[in-house]
Amino acid sequence: MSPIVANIIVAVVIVALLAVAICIVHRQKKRDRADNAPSCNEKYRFNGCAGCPYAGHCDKKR
Amino acid sequence: MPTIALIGNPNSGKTTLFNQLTGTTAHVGNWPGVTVEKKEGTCNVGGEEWTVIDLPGIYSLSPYSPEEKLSRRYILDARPDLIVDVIDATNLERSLYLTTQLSELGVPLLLALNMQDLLKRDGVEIDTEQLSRMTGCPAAEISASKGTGLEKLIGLAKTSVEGHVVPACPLFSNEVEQWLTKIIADDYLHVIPAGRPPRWAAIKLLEDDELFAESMPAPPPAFSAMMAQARASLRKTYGDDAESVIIDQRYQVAERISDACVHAIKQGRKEFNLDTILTNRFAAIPLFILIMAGVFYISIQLVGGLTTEPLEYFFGEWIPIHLGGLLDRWGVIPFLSGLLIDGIIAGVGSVLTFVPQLFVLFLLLSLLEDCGYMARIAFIMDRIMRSLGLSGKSIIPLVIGTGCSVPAIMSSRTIEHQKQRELTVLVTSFIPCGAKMPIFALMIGAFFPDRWYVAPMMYFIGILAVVVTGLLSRRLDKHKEQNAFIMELPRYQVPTLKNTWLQTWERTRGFLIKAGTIILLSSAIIWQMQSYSFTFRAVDPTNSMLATLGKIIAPLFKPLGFGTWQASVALLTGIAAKESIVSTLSVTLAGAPLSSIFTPHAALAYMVFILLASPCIAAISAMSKELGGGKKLVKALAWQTGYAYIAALLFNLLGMLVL
Repeated sequence: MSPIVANIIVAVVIVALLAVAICIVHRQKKRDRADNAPSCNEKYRFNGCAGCPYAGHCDKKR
Repeated sequence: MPTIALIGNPNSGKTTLFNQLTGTTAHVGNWPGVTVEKKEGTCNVGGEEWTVIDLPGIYSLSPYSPEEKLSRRYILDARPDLIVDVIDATNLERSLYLTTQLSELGVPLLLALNMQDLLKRDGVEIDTEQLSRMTGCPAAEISASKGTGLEKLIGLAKTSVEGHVVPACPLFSNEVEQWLTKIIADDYLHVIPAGRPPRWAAIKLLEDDELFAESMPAPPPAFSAMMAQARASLRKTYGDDAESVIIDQRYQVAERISDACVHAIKQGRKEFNLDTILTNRFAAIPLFILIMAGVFYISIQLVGGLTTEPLEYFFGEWIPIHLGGLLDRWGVIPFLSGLLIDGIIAGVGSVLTFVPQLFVLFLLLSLLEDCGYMARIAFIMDRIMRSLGLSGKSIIPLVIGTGCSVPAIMSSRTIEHQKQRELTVLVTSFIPCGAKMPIFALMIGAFFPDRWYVAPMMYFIGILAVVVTGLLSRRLDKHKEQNAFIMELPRYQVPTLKNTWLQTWERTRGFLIKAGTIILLSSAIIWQMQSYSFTFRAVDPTNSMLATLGKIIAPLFKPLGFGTWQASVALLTGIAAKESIVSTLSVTLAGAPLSSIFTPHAALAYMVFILLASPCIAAISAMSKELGGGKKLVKALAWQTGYAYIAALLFNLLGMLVL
């Protein structure tokens, strides 16, 4: 195999590995954010979410 | 798409049923409190996709705990098409209390009588038809762990949803019923929020349920006067407040149904009660120490001793020799071959070396959970936890923390008192998570191969840090909050193959994904940073940008015994993921032995520092969310790192004398 082709193959393999890793991390992050959305804290719900630490980030997305 | 909500008492098998119905792999444990938030999945019912919701375990729908609030709010707001009440058939009477409340919600209800296998073993039978008649709900006998009776359950679910048959509500005494009729007839009941059945609303108003009252406009004076009269009348008749009267009458209904439906068919098998030993006040703690020491000895020392060497040879020598030789023959430039072999493969390989021992560790922990021992640990530790200013519930995050700190920190949400919750968030990451294990295995394999006690010692140093932090916080805290933690001890059971495999695989899979993503990326970056200078010229590693950065922070760690740039840089990369410490050491040492930068006592101090210092970025983010970020987070991280520094310093000095 010519050195140019070999270098291209190795470079493509490395880039592919890195790209796949970045994609998985990105997807995982998105899923984690959705999974970890805390439940609406009822205590603050009747006050328009004022003072709630999860406001805007909870499963109600208020 | 129709929606089914699974609800029931803690540890009644809801998540096991959820996994069976949806084919998912949600975490199941033979101890209460595993499900903190609701989980969602889909199930195929006669070719149609149905949504299945797994709700946290609750004993009642009274809004006293976050789990109860979450479950009640979900059913009332989301109005599922069917509620499946998962009942521990071996405890029918207690489970029926919740059933009496669920039947008032105006949603079709299906009873899943779970744990039929255990019921038969006890020599008990439930008359399902009689139960259906008395509750007005269809009932199916199932065993979620064995997967039996599920077809019948699904069939009944379909019929219930299609027929929209609402169960019969339990009847209270004549006087209570008369008052309920009057309340329902009042004009004020016309303003109840959507989805709340009038009878349920009337009961809540009579009970003086605060949460429900908040959702209603202020009552007119005439209605308030009628309620006061009703409560006074009930107090006069029963000698108790209205809420207690209704609770008591619900229990009477549950008892009546249970008495009519449960029959003993033969003498139950007498079993030796393991708890006489495992929760014995004198033997419990030594046994717990012995069991955990055994777990770490088997996984780290025994399995690690057998598998680490061949895997190290494979990733450290076999691949570099063969793949390196091939790339050389092909004429691949040093940058690319170095990045692939010395960067990516060396980094990822160094972490993968520890997969077998981690798999065994996760397997043993899953077995302990599934057989019911972890719940006993919570019971044993409850009093200790409370004496440290923590909640009895704090044990749940601490047990989950042996897998990963992120879900562990999140599970602290069920602790009602803010101070106790914050303290639990702070101490959870002191418990060694799966990501820290490869570092311990690496160091122990290199410096303490014959000292079996070093791995379990790390676990107990973590527990000691929890104790010290708790005691100090209790001393500083003027408002000493106490709350009772009611936890039912589940039965001992033979761990099921499926549950054990699912839990072990989920944890191992998480580790493998991290190795293939974060570790791979960080190894590639670390290799480049240690091969090039800030002017992007290929240089000797000691003059690289990584070494330059490492040398700036290394003096900080000199008193701890590991003031080299390699060890310091590894600590920095460990912030991204703790496993990165192993891959960074592997890349930066480039084949040199660990003993070239560590002495045995420095290695011990290094392990202690990693164990106790601030966790990885994912756990820090979870801490930030639970603490509300800002000052509290900074304080928590400062305490963790400061404590880790002092502890590592002590171990380094102690190690100098002993090792």
